[in-house]
Amino acid sequence: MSTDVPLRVPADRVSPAALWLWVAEGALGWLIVAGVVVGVTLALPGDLPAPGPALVTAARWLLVPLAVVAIAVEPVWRYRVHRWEVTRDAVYTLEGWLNRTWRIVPVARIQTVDTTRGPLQQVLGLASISVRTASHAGSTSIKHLPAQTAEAVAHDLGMRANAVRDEAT
Amino acid sequence: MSRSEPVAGRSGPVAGWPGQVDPGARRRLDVRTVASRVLTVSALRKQWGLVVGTVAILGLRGGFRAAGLLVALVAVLVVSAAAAVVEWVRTTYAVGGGRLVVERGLLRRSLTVVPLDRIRGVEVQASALQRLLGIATVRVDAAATGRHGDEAELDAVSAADARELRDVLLREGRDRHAGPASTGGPAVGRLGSGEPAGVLGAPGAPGPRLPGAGAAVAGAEGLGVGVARPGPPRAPGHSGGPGDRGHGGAGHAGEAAGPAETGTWVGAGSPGGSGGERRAAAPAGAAGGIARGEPDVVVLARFHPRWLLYAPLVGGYLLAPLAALGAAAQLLDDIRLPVISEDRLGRLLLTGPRLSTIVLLAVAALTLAVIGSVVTATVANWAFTLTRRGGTLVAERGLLSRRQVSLEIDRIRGYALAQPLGLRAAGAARLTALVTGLGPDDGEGVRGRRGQLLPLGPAAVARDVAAAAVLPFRAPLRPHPPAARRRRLGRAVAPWLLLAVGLAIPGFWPGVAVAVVLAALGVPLGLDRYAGLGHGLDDRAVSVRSGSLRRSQVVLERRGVVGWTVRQSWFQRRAGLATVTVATGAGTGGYDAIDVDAADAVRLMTEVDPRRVGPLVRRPAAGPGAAESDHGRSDLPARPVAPPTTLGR
Repeated sequence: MSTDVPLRVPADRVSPAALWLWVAEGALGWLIVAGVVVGVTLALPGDLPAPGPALVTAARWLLVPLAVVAIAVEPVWRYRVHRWEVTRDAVYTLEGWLNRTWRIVPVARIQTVDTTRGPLQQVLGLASISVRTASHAGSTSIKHLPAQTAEAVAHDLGMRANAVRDEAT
Repeated sequence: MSRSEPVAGRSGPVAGWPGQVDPGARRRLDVRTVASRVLTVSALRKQWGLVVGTVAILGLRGGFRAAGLLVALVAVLVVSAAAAVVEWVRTTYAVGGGRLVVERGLLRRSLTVVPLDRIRGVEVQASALQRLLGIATVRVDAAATGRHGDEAELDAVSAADARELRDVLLREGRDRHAGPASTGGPAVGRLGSGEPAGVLGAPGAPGPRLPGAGAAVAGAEGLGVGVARPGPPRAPGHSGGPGDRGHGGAGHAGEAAGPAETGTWVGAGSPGGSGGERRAAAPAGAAGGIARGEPDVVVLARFHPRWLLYAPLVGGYLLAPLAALGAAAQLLDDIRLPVISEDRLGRLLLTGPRLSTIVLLAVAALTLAVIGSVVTATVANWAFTLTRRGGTLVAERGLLSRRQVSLEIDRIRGYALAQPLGLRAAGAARLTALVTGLGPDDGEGVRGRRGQLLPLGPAAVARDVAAAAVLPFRAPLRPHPPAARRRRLGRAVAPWLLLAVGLAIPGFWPGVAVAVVLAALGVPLGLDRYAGLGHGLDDRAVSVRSGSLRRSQVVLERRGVVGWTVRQSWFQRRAGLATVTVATGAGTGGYDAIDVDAADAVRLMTEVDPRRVGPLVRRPAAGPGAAESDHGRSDLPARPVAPPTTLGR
């Protein structure tokens, strides 16, 4: 049995370039993990008691499926899940892959709208918008939009939030 | 809050006063401040390390000679006094032009400007010494602060001024928020006006029947909340607020101090009077309240001394004395007092203490913790009183140092009813308001205490106080589906079972035994956690509840909801569950309805906010593809959209 949350899917996908960004991030994360695992297992003494050597081998082999998941599976999965939409009254986002998070932020409660572009994002022509309210839990972000779209959306949201902000906290 | 006022708390060298403030309104702190500062060496406390260091060096070099110490002491006092006088001369404050302006400093001048409409709350606090002197510290909390908190602190003004200032600041701030329609009155003018004599009593005027410091407490209780209410329905007394229920006790003791303290009947602090004198408030008190044109004052809760007995059931209170003891032991160790000579201790440890010794020590420690927790709770909460004065809730408390916290009702978004296991077993609870900008509501730390509406008390009383002070919530909570019980049980048991298995591999059996016991304990814990889960709503508020050891129910006004988050892990998805976070600008910022049925999660959000969430609900007939037939979706987001005119509420 599997029951999804009965919310409709937000209308828009993120930029396809986000795929490459997630691949790069996944590869980087995997490299770090792999470095730690290899480093630690090399540093261990050679004459470990019974389950020791088996665990070491298992840990090293585990790196292979981890690489597949981090570099191939997760980015594609994310790209299929991540969506966003600005409705008349709210910013609505869905993100995640194994675990999913839906966020609904009423435009009237928006306090700030920021656009950020990290180094990788700049290379790929992407930008993220973070939409903040008085509560951290009530804030959201739309990640990896085409830079121009992000700018337009941020501008639009800022104007509208200003126009309706009567109940901000 | 969409003002573009300059940021509060900007400070730095300033040549003159901003034009908006009428220089005539500038006031000095009370002269008695100097005395208080000298006695508490407050000027030197900032360099406390230096003082301690000096003393330590003196001690190292040839021990503490009496003469040397005396000279050092005198020097400290002289420097402290000089610093205090300079500080007093150079510190002024004023309210005018919509701002509170505090100017201070000799070499490094600083000017703090707090726009009145940014003021979130005003706290008036008086330490025991300050109460003896009849002065109090006023602390102003302003909006848009970071963790640093206090924007402006005036220590100290006379108790009378403190109260005036608080009223002026809160009223002005509210007026500016709400526009001229709200409660009014010439606010600024009051600051300069003299305080009616007798209301605050002469500093240190001895109450007729109160012993020692306690007497001065009541006499100098400038912070006293006038409980006098003009209207007949709630004459100050036993018919009072819902929380009142005729618990006499502490609050009434103050009245016994006589007519000199008209309107200060919270001036409790009278250990002798706590026995539950049940005098009706002197009519003079009511008259005084009216004559001074105070806003209506309604008592919402009054602490009954008996409730102090709940203290040992609260971890925070129970651990406080042990922590103090630990610190004391550390100190003793540092000074190397021969409490127990080391070889005796060593012998005791080597031979192994007898069982009777261990039991005796345990009993002693427990007794000490229990007594200590009650003492701690007494010091913190003595004569706690919650009143409503116009648009403000005022909580006052404390045995040695009285602390008064004012919360603007406009900023209260709801409340948290905390029932940790111990309190729940005794049918007790703790009530905390969720106030925007006041920080988390864990109710234990100093910050948490500021929002407390009832520090300890029977759950029924706490609910009544919540209903009277914030809003009533009587709707039943919907239980969460059985799948949620499986998840609670699994999460309480599984980690320990895993640990047991992990420890069994190398054959560490004692560890396995402990892990198994913990796993077994996880069963009732998980079941109780499930029993605690619930969510509900009525036409004004939404509520979520969770937890076992730290159960807490949060009731949040609908207008306080600033957003929604729904989370669904892979496991939750398989179980058809989701966790909904109700976001708010108050308290911890978000409260979870854990493991709700996925459909119920959406139902809850839709019921609270149909206009915004409604269009996002997936219609049963339509698949995900129907998303494109959007309800209420704005035009292409890539294009700037003109602000729609139908927005707002």
